[in-house]
Amino acid sequence: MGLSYILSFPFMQRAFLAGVITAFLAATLGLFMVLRRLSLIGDTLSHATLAGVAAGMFFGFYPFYGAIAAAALAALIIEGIRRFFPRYAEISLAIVMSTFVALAVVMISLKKAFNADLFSFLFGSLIAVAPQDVVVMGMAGLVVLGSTLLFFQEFFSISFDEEAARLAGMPVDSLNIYLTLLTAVTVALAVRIVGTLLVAALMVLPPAVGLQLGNSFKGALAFSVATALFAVVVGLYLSFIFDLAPGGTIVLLCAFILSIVLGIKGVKGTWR
Amino acid sequence: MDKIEVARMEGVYFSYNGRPVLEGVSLKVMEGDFLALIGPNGSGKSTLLKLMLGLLKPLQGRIWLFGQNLDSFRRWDMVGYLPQHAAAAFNPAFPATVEEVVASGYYKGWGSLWRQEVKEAVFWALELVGIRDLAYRRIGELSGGQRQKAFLARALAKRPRALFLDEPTTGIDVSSKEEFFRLLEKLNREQGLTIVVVTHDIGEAFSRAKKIGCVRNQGVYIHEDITEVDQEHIAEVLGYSLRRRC
Repeated sequence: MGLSYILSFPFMQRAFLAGVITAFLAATLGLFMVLRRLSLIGDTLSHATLAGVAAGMFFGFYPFYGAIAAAALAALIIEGIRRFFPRYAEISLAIVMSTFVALAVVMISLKKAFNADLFSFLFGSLIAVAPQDVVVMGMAGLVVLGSTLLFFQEFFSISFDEEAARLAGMPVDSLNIYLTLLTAVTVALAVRIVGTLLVAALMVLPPAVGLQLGNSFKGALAFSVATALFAVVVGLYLSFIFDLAPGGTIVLLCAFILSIVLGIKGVKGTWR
Repeated sequence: MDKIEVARMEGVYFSYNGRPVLEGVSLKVMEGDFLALIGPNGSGKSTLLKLMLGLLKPLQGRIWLFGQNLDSFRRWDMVGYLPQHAAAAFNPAFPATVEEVVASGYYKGWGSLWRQEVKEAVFWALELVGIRDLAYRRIGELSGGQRQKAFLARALAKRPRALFLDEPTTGIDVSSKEEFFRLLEKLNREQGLTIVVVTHDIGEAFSRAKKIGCVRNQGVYIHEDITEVDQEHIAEVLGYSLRRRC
């Protein structure tokens, strides 16, 4: 079964388009997050999107918008709480994740609405990507991509050396908040494809490959994006052919690529 | 023509958790100065430098950079800074080349990275510190001395008028230390760069700097003419051993 056949289905066209946007953004912002030792923020934000999805179901608005809003709100709260616990930054992640998940559980139980739509947000779904999702993802993706290109040097600098970035005249506090917000939007977009439970993996595994293969920051970024794109395109293809969960397939492919890279480097290291 | 006042402090107080570190400190750094701040561990040398740059806020007192109150100072392109342990404390696995690290010091607002002038500034700075050939090497692969030069190039890329360095030679070998201070002296002499350096290396401080600032007992005393200073007496007062440089 060829790719052209699969792409003759409109829902698969949308899935591939959304997947490519997601892969690019998750791999890019994931690298910044990994380098800032904030790998777990993706996990926290993705769990927070559940509260937005549940709120959408509870109050009757489109859950995907709720997911984006909840991720952005969670990102702002994380930054706010971090100021109260400067030496225990991870506390803010735990507080936000548990509170938002609790909120989601309460709303779902009140509505008694554990349905297919919620299931699609938990595990990702190919057929769940609606035309309006692609439009939202395209627009949000452009904002995230444009911001990343425009603030590339700033994001690199605050990831490498925050104090020096401040002295170079960069508005470090605002940049931290903006980068976290961009990450939140990316997480919310990725939830549609890989699901809440696996978003964090898409933001960590490709950057891990990039860190192993790249000799420069731009090189690491290129390998990270290439890994994510390959895993998403091949993962979507395989999940269609074999009727597999797309999120799980994509993440397993990422893990497979990482294990090959680590294996080859390990063997090379042993031989040296 | 009168020299420009690069930095000025008046009546500055600072304490860590209630323990006074600096009490009523006043000092001036003039354009073209090469001031070495020396003193025992914990005397407040690094604190003094961070206060001058606004990285710490004083409890009392006022600070100016280039004649402007620090709170409203925005001309950070005029100021270069090499933080303490910059070369030793960073993550050596960070995937960045020397060129990328140096470029991060040249900041001219949004979209800076995509301007051609950045590349020119980076290679000018690398040439200046003598490591142009290392531009495409990964920063984590360099020796301690080479890394420190790369970080110096980052601070110099924007062509600042004043350079502030916090213990820049900690953790690097003796010959690299001497070479580093020789480079600072050259930058001061040939480029007219104002330099303020916190250091434990009293021998290099006395042989390269124009002024010595002794930080001790919550105060600072600036020796304007170091030729009149008894180096051994200063070392003894501050608890240094002059043999330590060997």
